[in-house]
Amino acid sequence: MKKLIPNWLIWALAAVAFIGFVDASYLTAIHYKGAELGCNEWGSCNEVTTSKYSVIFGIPMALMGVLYYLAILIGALVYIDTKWKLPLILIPIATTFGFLFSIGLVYLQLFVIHAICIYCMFSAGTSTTLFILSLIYLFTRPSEQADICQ
Amino acid sequence: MRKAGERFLFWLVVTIVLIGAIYGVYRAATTPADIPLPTELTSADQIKGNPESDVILIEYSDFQCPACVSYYYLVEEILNEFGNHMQFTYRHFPLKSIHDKATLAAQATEAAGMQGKYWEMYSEIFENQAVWSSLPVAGAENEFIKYAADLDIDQKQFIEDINSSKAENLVEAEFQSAVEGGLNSTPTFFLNGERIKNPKDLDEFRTLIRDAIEKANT
Repeated sequence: MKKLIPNWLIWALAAVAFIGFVDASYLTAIHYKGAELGCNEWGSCNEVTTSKYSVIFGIPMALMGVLYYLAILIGALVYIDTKWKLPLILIPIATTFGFLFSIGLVYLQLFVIHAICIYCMFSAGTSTTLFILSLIYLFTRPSEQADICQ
Repeated sequence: MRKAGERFLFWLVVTIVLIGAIYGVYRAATTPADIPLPTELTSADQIKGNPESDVILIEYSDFQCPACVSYYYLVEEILNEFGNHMQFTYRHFPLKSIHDKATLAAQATEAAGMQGKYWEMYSEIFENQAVWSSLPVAGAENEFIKYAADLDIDQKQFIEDINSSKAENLVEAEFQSAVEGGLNSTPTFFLNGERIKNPKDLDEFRTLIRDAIEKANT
């Protein structure tokens, strides 16, 4: 059977999602502990993570990040394990939303809060990478037709 | 299709890695980020005196320790005389097992510090040690809230901050710094990175500081 996605690409998606998961988990733990972020050397982390934009409908933004990255990670792993196609349909949709959301968050940091949180920027980087990996998948995947013909 | 054993192993590894990552992240977030070295200042330190000066006095102290009150008055004298030529920072080393209100007092200064009144609260707490140290913990907390009101600190915010994780972490970081530095008594002083024997009186303290200032100027 023809492969729907190269091995390196699905593993790269899983790896980047895992990195994003660790980053967002750290921010979530900090949020609930009320601790200071140890990154004042690089930016005003606490200004960002304690701003009114850090919580939406009572849910910390960082927790949403955890769930997002975990969903991508589990999706990629489910595909690796079962070759079930559904995660390959959902991941590009999710990463597009994740990317657009990240643009919004970077905008808030730069132009509204006027402070940069290095962990949040890192998360923007991982969600952008996931989006790019999804684009690579979408533009290089073999067509369904070809798959059926085989 | 992969064998059931292989699949089990795959998900077992995934679960272990995820649990390990969550544990690591939790540890990283709950360990105070910057445990300062007893010999060096950090950006988290509250500074009294001249922050540009090369003469640095660091004190590890406990608000409920009677000897620390005596040294509080000595340090105040020293800063009155040499404040333009030195900088001083106070670090929390509450001796928790013998002083049941020392940690709360330390958190009270941090809570006041969040509203820019760290040193004012530090003075109030030392100068009134005899009053609050004889009260039960809840009574001491009420006393600190009273000092906050006297210092025009927003009381509602202060009450929220005094028992916040942020205040707890700030105190804990300094406490850990003392423990890791092998300290076992209060007060303990470090002058320009070197632990000094506690001066017997103001004159001895003066001499130590004057020598350090002269050395820094040559």
